[in-house]
Amino acid sequence: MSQNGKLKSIELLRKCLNSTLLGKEDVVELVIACLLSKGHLLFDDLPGLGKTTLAKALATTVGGRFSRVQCTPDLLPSDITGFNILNQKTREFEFRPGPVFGDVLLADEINRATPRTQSALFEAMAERQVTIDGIAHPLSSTFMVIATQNPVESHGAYPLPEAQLDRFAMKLQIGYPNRGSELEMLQKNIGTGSQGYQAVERVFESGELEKLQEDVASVAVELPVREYLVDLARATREHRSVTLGLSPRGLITWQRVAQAWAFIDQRDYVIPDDVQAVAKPVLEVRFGGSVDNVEKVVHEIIESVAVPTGR
Amino acid sequence: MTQRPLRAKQTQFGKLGSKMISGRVISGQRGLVLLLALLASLAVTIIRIDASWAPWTIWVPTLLSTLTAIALMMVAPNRAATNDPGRAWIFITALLIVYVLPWNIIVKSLLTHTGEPLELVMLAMVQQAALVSVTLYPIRKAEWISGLLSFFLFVFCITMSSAQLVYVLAGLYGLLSIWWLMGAYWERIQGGFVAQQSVPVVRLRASILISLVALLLLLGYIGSTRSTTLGSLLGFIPTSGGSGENDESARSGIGDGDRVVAAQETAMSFGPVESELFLEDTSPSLYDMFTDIYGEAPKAKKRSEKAVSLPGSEGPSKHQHLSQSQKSSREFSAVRRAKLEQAKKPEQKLTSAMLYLIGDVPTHLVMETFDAFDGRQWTHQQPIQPTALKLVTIGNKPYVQFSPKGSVPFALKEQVYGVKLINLKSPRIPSPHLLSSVHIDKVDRVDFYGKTRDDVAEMPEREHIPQLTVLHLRTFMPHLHKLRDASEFRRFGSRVKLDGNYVTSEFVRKAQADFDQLHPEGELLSQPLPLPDAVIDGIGSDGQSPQQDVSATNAETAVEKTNEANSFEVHYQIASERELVEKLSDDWTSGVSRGWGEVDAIVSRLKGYCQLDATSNAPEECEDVVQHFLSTKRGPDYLFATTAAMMLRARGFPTRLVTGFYADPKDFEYATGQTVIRKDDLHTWLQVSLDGVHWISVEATPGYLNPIEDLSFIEWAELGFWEFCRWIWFHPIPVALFMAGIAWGVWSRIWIFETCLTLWVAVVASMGTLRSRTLWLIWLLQWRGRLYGKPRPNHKTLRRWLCESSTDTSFVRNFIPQLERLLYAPAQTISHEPDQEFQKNFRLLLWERKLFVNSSKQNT
Repeated sequence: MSQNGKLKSIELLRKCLNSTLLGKEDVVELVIACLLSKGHLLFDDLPGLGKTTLAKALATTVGGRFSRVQCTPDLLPSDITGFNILNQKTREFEFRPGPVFGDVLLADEINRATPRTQSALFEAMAERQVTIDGIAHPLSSTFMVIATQNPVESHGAYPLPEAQLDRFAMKLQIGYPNRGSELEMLQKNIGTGSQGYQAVERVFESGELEKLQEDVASVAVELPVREYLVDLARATREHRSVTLGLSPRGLITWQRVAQAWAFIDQRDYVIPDDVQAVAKPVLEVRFGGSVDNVEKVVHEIIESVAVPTGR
Repeated sequence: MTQRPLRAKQTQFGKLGSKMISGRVISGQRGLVLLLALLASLAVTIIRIDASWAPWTIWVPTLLSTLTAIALMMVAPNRAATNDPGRAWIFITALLIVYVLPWNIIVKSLLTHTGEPLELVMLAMVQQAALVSVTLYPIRKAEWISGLLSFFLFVFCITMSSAQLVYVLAGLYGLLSIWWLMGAYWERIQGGFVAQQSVPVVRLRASILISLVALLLLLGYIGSTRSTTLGSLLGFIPTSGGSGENDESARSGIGDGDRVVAAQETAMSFGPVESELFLEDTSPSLYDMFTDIYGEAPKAKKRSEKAVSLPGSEGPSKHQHLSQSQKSSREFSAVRRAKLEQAKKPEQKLTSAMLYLIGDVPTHLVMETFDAFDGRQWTHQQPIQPTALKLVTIGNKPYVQFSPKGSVPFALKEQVYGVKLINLKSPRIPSPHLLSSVHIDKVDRVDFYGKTRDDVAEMPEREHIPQLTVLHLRTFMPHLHKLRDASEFRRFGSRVKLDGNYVTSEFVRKAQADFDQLHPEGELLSQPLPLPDAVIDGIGSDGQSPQQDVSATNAETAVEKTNEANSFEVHYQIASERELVEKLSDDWTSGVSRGWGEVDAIVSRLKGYCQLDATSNAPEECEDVVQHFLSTKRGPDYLFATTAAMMLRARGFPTRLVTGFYADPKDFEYATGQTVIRKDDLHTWLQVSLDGVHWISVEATPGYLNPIEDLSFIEWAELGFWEFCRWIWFHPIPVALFMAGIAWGVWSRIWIFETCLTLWVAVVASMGTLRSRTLWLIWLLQWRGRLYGKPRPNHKTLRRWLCESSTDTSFVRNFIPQLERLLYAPAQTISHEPDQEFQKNFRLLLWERKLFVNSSKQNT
């Protein structure tokens, strides 16, 4: 795919997502960055703001298999990963793949699943494979988990363990749309019948996304910027309000998302602006629930580290 | 990352607990470090005070800075650990360390004229650094630095000082430092298992480090070189004299160079110490010394019409039968042959001391006086009134009194000097002006002392005063400041008791007449003027009431005039072109009220009018050296003195020329409190009298200081202020230019600074790679932002900062990606040849000064 073609497909993706989620261009931009950086996404917001809509739209545009799990306390790990079943005909065990074997997995209200089920996602998210009865089954190379959670109804919910939070690339809030967007949304909704949301078209042909993700991975991050990243990571560990600072895995994720951000901005090198732009969603998911005012803390951390300007 | 896991597993409570534990340890240790630093500070201060002549200049600022440091610690604890401690904080801490150097310069040049040697100043800076390090406490290394510095200070103090208190302090320091080390050890153990405190690190910029190393290398190079240009900086390196350099305020050291003279430790010690130095008789006569220093006087041409009459005979006097050396019918020629300057090897420049002086410097030690001047030569003609000497006891020691206490109405304070004769061979006693009394140990006979015809104290009937004799001198300190005021001048100079009679000199009468003319109905004259207590005492003993005495002044005037009419004649003679001298002296004293102010004015103007040049002699056939000197405006010290004497005579002051020794403050040795006086300290100056009896030394040569006068602080400040104003008044153009320069500098300081930076970057940017040039440009932009009130906060990226604070946002938006590419893109992807547009933008940004200006104005 030519450089032009890549830009075109990204632009198309942006357009599709924006038409699905009105007035949330900044969120869409981060979602694209997350997709390009091969990260998993966690939406943390109130019900009805379009989390699921966006996830579905994303799955459609990416063009892969979309699977969805509605998490409830009685959901079992095998409901996600799949299981071996005895074929009565052949008298052999046969593997029935679960929803994780899709390209995009939407885990709705993930905090309603039991920890046991949640942890079943661990391996899938980190290593892109699941092991059942000692046999490792590789997942799709563009496998992406989009999880949503509802912060309000905490009754009967199991907060995600910190170890699992670290496997997400970022956490996003969508927030209420503005007045104009809501008006437009209502107008669009008239006459759509039972479908409820606007259909989007597929953007990527097979293998295209993979190629793009490889390109993102090769965006240059020069030493001053790498040092800046490391300094920021250390600053998160030294900040008084943060119990658990950024892990090395988190740092790698941060760099990857910054690369994606630079790629979206049509650059083949990362600048400190990219690092700062993605700092909040990347750090928020890792600080977990222990930090009250994430925005303020992230701001303080960024303020405490000098941007490298060469001299 | 190895230290993280422990911490990661801690619960909230565990973390809190560990902080509490380490916090307790910290506060205790911190106090201990502070105590150690304070102890070291005290020890250093003791050493410094020990070597100083003005202890207040040391303990006052030390106390203040110590209190400031402690206050800083209490007001802003943990400030250093934050990323931005604030400019004021940085400024104060830096000032606390380096203030010692400028303060020493101020003390040296303005307050006491005696500073500290450089090594002590540097030691004091280390002391301050130890103290300030404690305020940087949260940086763990600062604590260790402070401890290390205070240890160094104590080692230094113990090796330098023999003061007992320092040893006591050192013992205390030892105990406390062991306690501190134990604490540090325990803290470490606790810290290792319980909590890994993250240590904020002070970043040291590579540029600072490199410049520091470069500076050290430069200093090392200068220290090692002997070249003349850089050699002038040699004294900057603290030395103890071993390098041939010495600091005037340095204490004793290794190989004091020209100061190696025996028995210098205490001039009061008696006995030929290391006597080889004294066995060889190199002591020159005064005449030899004059020839050596000033050059030979040409032989007088025989001129019958200008024969100098011999002094009148005063009957048989024992003084006349004395040895050759004290018969001072000698003259002092103001016309001399140019001295042949021989190239000497350094070791030949070593001269031995003529005498040592203990006491305040500068001091002028009188050896000979001359009252008559014929245009070429000074001679002594007018014999002094013989004075009756008296033996008095001061502090159980027999002193021979030349002038009783209170006899000099304008000088009531006494000063004490010690003089030890080394190589000077003369019966005359080298003494400062207004000599009060003299004491030599175990000599309690008045007839050992006398006065020469030219009014110098001596030991008659001796060829010379024995070498190594220690003379204790008491002199009066003139309170000249009062005499600067015309009315006070009249009062103080009015009447003087001399040999039981009250006399009013012709000069004083003249001054009184002038004053009365100026103030015919002045309040001061409507009532009798009070006389100084001492004079009143004298009057009382004579059975006269002061009132009567004052009222009788006018009646007695005629009688006194006849007695004294001739006595001052010789002191008023002007052997020069009278008109020129009178005109100049009138010019120079215009606007100055009658009194001592005239003397100050003439002398200080003369110092500025002519230039000191030891080689510029008057030609041999010159008949009027004063005129010659005033026309060439160059000459040695005796021409300055002669000319000043003539000019003061033209203003009605009796004057005389004095030769003797100048005790230079530069030769003052702080360790022993004494001044070495060598052959080349031979000097000529003049003396002015107010009453015809007491003569006050006045220095007329630039580069030499006037003898110390009795001044209160207010008088000193007043005098300094007027002197300053006068200097400004007489240098209007340089002062105006300077002020204009300062005003311009302050007014357009930003412009100047920015221009300098821009030029610098323009120069640097013409060299180097594209990347380095871009870096310089960014550096310049950041400075501009600072100058125009739009500094880039450290955490703001270049793009955000420029877009937010510059006026031409579109230009910046277009150009900044190119800058960013150079900054952050991999080197191999950057082309080294910039395109034309980039170069154009680069130039635009380099010379565009208004990038930040308008925005700041718009904001305001």
